Amino acid sequence: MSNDLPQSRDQAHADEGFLERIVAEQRMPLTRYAARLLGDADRARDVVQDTFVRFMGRPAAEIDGHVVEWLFTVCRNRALDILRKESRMTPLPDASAERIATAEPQPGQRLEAAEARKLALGLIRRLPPNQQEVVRLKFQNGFSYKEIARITDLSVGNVGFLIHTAVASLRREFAEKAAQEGAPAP
Amino acid sequence: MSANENKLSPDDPRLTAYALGELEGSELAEVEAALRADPAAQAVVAQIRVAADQLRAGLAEETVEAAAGEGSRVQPGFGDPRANLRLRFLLWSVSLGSLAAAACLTVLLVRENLRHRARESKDAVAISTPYAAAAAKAPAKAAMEDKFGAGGAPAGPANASDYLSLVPSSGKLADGPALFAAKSAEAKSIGGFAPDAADNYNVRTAMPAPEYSPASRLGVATLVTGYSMSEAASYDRFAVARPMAAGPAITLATAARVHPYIQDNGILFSAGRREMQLDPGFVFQAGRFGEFVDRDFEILAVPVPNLDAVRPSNTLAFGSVEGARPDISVLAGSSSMDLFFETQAASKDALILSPAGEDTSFESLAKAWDAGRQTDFSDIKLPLQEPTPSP
Repeated sequence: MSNDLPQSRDQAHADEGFLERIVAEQRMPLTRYAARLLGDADRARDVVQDTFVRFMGRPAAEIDGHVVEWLFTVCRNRALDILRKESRMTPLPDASAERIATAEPQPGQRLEAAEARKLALGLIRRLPPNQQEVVRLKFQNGFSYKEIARITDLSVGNVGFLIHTAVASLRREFAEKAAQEGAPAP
Repeated sequence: MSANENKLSPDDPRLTAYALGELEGSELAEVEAALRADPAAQAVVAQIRVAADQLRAGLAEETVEAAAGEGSRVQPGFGDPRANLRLRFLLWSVSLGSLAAAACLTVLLVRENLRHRARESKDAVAISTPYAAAAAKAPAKAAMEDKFGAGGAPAGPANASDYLSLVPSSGKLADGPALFAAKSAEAKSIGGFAPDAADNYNVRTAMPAPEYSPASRLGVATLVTGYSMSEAASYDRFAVARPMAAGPAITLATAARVHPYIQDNGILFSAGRREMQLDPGFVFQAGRFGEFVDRDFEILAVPVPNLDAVRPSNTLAFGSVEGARPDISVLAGSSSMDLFFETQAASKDALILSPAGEDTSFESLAKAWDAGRQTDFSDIKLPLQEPTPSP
């Protein structure tokens, strides 16, 4: 066997704990991400498992430095492959993302933390699926706009817009909620 | 620039980007300068940060089930899938280009290895020349289409030996057979369920019995099975009615580390057909997990000189099985006991990967399975199971 073959992930990391650490750290975020894409927790776990298997097969040099981004990209592609195969896709209605970019947001209110989180989750779940994905990658997984753009094949500008409109909607909801309860604006 | 020109709209996406730390360079400087003179915009930034914190906090509490529960799927066309398609096409092209050479080399190596093995071991009943002969005459695509009809369901091969040259088993295999193989009058597809999403899903749908935990199902899914081509098609919910036979290469890759035959001979085997499906990255080829397509091949043996690189962690689904049962290199069985027993009925002569000296008869294996069933394979812990919450 020649020595110039790409190193597999397995070979490249003498640190035996490397894979275990990556799995431990990223399994849950990836599974949650895939679950959201697929709408099926079990199948999400399959996709994540598949993602890790593929991860093991990649030459280390290809993904060193952006392992997490690579994992999310592969996970996403695998999930979308499944959705395509199943022909269960629902087209995103035109301008659906724009629908949430509405009026000027009002100042937010200081809501109780639990209620605010509930409000935030409720808002996210009402967003168009594709915008949800971007929001989750940002606020659940901590990716930057650029990283999200690479994962989703969107432009950085599109990512920024989708996140901006989601945040703006939440600010508006906070304001409306506070107005309903007669709470003073901060 | 006047102060008014510098003023930021409260709905300017740059404010969100700034609040989230996404700006850099001149754009960052520009927004910072504008903010210094704009208390209203500063307030908006503060509000954005509060909203972002709430989003983070809300999403941090979300469980996998809750994330899946909404049933809201992302649109597959989201983003540009063309890059993925291009990659697949590239992999496909590369793979096709390497198939012929790999097959030729394979036949030579397998034949030589098998001869060597036969000379060495008086019990080398497992893999004999018929297998290599089958590899040698693995039909070309045109021949396969003649046999099956273009794109149609399999009509069944005229000659089973065209499919798999399978070897008889004595039941007790002193030196541990390297291959799972079955002999049948009926054409059989030797296949496993490779640990990809589609196959695991197939396993669950094929094995719905509630007494098996998901962990057991997944664990068992890694095991090699044999079933008829026509039967296999019914389990392939993603494909048209074509034979599906996921290659057991992964299983063997895992087994390679501990299995003397594979270790001695430095080969892995992939058998079966997975038409119209590109699955790069699963077959250990040319020293690494590479891009390989086993379509149009019914049997393929892949020489792997550096088997030392094959570890259980290469195939996550198997590692913990091995870890939990260090005495067993690869559990014998199938993805579903239904399939297992169908295989048993249809195929009396089978070789199963097993520890040296183990009784690999179906009767024995079925008994072992029944024993394990009582505990629902609770000793099998898969790496990707949900962790048990700490007390």
